Amino acid sequence: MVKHRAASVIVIGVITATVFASGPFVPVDFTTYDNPCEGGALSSEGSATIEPLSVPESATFTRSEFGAEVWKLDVPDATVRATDVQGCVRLTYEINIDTLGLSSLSTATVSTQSSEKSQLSIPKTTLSPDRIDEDHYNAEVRLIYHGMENGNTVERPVASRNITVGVTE
Amino acid sequence: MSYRSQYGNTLDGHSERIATIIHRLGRLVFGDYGGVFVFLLSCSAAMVLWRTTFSINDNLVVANGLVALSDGHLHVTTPTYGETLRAPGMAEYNGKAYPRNFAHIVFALPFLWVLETIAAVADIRIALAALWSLSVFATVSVGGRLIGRHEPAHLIGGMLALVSFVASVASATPFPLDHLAYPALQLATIVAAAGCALVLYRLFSHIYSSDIGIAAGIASGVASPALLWATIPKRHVLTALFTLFTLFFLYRSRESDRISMYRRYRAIAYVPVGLTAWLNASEGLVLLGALAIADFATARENGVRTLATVAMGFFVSLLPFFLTNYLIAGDPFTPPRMLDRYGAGAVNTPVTEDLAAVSESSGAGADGTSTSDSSGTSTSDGSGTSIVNTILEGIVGGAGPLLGTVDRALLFTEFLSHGLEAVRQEPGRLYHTFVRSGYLGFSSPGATGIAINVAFLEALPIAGALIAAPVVAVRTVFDTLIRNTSPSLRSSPLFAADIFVAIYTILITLLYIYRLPIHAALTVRYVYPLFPLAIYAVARLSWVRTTVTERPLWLGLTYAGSVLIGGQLALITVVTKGYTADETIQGIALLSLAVTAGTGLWSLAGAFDRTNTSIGAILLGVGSGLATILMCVFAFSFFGPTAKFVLSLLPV
Repeated sequence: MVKHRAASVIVIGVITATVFASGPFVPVDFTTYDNPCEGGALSSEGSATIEPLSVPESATFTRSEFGAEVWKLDVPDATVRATDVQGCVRLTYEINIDTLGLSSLSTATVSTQSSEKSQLSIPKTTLSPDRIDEDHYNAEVRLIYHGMENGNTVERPVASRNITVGVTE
Repeated sequence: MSYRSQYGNTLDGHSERIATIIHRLGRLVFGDYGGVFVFLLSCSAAMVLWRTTFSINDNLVVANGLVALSDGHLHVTTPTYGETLRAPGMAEYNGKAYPRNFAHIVFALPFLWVLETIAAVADIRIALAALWSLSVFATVSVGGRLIGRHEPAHLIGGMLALVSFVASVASATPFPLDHLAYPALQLATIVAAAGCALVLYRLFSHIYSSDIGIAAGIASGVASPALLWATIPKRHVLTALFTLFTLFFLYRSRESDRISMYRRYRAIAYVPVGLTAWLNASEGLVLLGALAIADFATARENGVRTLATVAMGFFVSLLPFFLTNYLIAGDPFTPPRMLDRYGAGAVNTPVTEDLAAVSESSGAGADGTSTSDSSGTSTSDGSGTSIVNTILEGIVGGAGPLLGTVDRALLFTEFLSHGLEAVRQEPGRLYHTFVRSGYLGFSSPGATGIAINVAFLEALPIAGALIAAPVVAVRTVFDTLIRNTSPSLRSSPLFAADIFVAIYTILITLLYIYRLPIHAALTVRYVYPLFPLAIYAVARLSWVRTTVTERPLWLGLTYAGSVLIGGQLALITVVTKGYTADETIQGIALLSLAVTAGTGLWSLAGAFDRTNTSIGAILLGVGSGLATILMCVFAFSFFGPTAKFVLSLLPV
């Protein structure tokens, strides 16, 4: 019985005390954002040398399974190496399929705290079942660097490649 | 006696009195510890899926409405949530923007006050993490009490709570929302969903035993779409709660021998009708229709005193509805959804996900506007004619309920004929709504274009057992006819309850079938009240009950196993094969259909007295597990990537 009572008191006590401590009366801040970049997570106020290590040579359209029916665009990941990083830079990895009017991209931030090699992946985009009627499409993948050069914000493609997107049922 | 012992005695006396009050209140609400357990389990589970981001965009309107009400007015002035006031669901009157689902808004108001009070003394993220940890503590502790292992469970619960809380604090980030109206709405809906589970528990522990009650409560709170909808504050959970209240009180009224209890409970059963109308007028009509038919078909007596009490209960429950409509549009019978859509010049505005508003305003908006016009002219006149007008209005007001009901009844039959026509012309709708949804190419502007909708049986596989329900019904009717015991059947409380559930199911299906299937329904949410009602119906099958009472351990372990192990397997499969959210949802839906089919076959065997409790326990356990997993997939896989979870523990 004592153990029972003690357990309740300890747990409820600790939790309640912490809750009140988190408020404005006690100058303790439990909630922090880890963000090494000035200007927010998507800032590009820095510079780095970006070297593309691998850019995909092809992508695929596959049909969704289990009756979900839509076409999924699968683009392999790209890897880059970042050296001489100062501040934060932004990298965009994008694919454009002009004939379908489809483009998709993903953004990654490289800062002094990121590792040297970064992997970028484009999230799966979907197309409704009636949009695909060929067996391959031409697309362009690009890796774009957003950073500072000589005090100006620049947007420079680091890698660019024309690839074929195959369609598999 | 010394002062100290006197003081000590008074303190003891006070604390004893408080404890007694808490006990009495607890008993009234929860019944016993089983009810507490079911309630807390539903709350704790729902909070895991709690996200601060909006899942369906007409939540914006209700959330803005709550902000407005907390500021003291009914109309919305600034869009606290969302960029604009022109969100689906916002109505316009006299140039002002009015929200809808007022019952939900008012229900959430106390929660907002509590959250704001807490926010004044603590950090909201930490406070909500504390709420969850304490909720888990209480759930485990009470659960231990139920299985007779209170001490160890209490200690384990305490440890879990402490560990989870410390981890939450360590990973806490600032709470992303400034205004707490949306979390208040969500908290209110969580309580409503847990309330549904609690009502089912109380009903079944009353009718049968607490084992059945707990199974039904857990099925409703955790192993059904309630888990997902508890934190998406649409009106449907509240509709289900009101319906279950009506069911509960209808049953209790037929159960008692004393005429006073019968009268009282019968009147109370009508109270949720008015509240539902306050939430959504057409759903209120559906509830009224089902209750009126079931009530008058099985009434013990319809004396003047009884009818007067019932009418009083009904009228009082409608007061909030009349008051709100009057305050907004000057006409007690014009609910917000009959007003023009905010920002739209004409009635034929682009279709939103709430089609009923457009068809209603074209049909009966004329009524509403003409009444408000006449009241407008009478006040601006200010001469003798206004007295005549006032008298006329008084007469209309007196006959108002009757006229209004007749008017709405006519509207209602319009719904019914719409529904019947839809079923006749396109029976595929029923199939897509209840059996298999799959990919349906929705072209509406709000559609995501991917197959994220599942049908009724895909979301609640245990409902497959209901295929044997007609067998039971036919048998009962047959037996009654042969043995000629119709009076006793008619006055049986379960009969009244069953009739109510059957009619409600038909009416709500007819109400919504002409616009189902629809995008953004997820788990056919328009007929969401049918989920707890399906669990009611499943629990009414005797072979299901036999399985639950004879093999509780099998059932519990299969359920827990499906969720924990099956969930992990699903996760691994999805990650390794790279399935997208819609594929995962449809894949699990197909699995669920397989289990549904199995459950149906087992149930049919049970109807013909070949019950196999082991197979039944496994089927029910796996089916319930799949339902839980599917809801988690919706929350984590579909909404997850763009969501901010309230519990910072979750790695999203």
